[in-house]
Amino acid sequence: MHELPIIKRVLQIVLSYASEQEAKEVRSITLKVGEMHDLIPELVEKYFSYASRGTIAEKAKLKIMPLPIICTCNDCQKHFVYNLRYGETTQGCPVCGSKTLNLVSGNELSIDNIEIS
Amino acid sequence: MDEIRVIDIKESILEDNDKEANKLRKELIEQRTFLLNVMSSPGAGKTASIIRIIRELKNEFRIGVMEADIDSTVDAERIVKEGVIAIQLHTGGMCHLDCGMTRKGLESLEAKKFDLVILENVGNLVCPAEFDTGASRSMMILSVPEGDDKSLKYPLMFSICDALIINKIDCLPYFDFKIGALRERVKKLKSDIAIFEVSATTGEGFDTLVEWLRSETKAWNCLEGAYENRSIYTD
Repeated sequence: MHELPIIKRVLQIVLSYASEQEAKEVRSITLKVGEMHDLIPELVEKYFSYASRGTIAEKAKLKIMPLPIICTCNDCQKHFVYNLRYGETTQGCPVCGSKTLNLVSGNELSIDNIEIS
Repeated sequence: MDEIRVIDIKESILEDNDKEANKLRKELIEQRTFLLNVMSSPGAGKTASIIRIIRELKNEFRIGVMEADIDSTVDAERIVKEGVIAIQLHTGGMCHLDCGMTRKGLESLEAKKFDLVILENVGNLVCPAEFDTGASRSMMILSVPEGDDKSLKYPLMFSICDALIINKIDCLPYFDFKIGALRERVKKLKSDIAIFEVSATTGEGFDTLVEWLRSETKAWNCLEGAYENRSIYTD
């Protein structure tokens, strides 16, 4: 359900850029979504389709680029991809086994680009 | 056929809210008001824990409370009975508070008059994690009956909090809740999170939690300008 306020904001930003460029139509919107956000693609599309009705973005294709969660190990400083789904079997740093990790990325939530005509 | 142009945007979707939140934090430092954002799922014990905290700290700090719910004034009424000012924010159906709504609440409360304002956020482990309220510190409460695997299901919430309260430890004998496993999972998401084990029913563990909050509030209120104004939400 947190998809709705996020989608409303996406639409605001997209329409603002599209209007600046005097676009007639928004053909696609590419979003970068870090895996920490756990946005449900079907809901994102559903809410977008509802929110964009009557605007130049109503037929836009939504492209969601998932970004992995990347951690660094506090002990050996190595970076690695952290797979949430298998969090239990990933016992810690794959290099030194340490369990003190820091989240480096995976929190992004941004609009990368739009295609307009 | 119309020519298709690619326009680079590269803008964070929640940038506006994040900017507002950082601005609010600066103002809270200047007016020496510590804002604690308390989050959890419904029924984990936010109100009961806040009441325990108020009882311990109301003679040391001027405390105000903002209760955020979709409907009802039940929680605010309980707080007011403790002799502390509380206001009820109705979110208009929204499942979380953002910085704008928090700011309006602070204005209604006249937050400048308080050393410590506690915001009891809407009971929800998903949406409140996405929206920085501008709080000085964020705290989440997980209760024993909910299970020790919640950090796997709701990682964002655990990763943005400064403190985790494990509540209802008096119920440990009745549930298969492994505190050690939870601690390990949570530290992977946020290595510097402060973890407290409490029971709002019996009062156990609250002295350590209250000491943490006491020192955080004093630090915030005393170090104007010198305090590291970090946002826990920025990468």
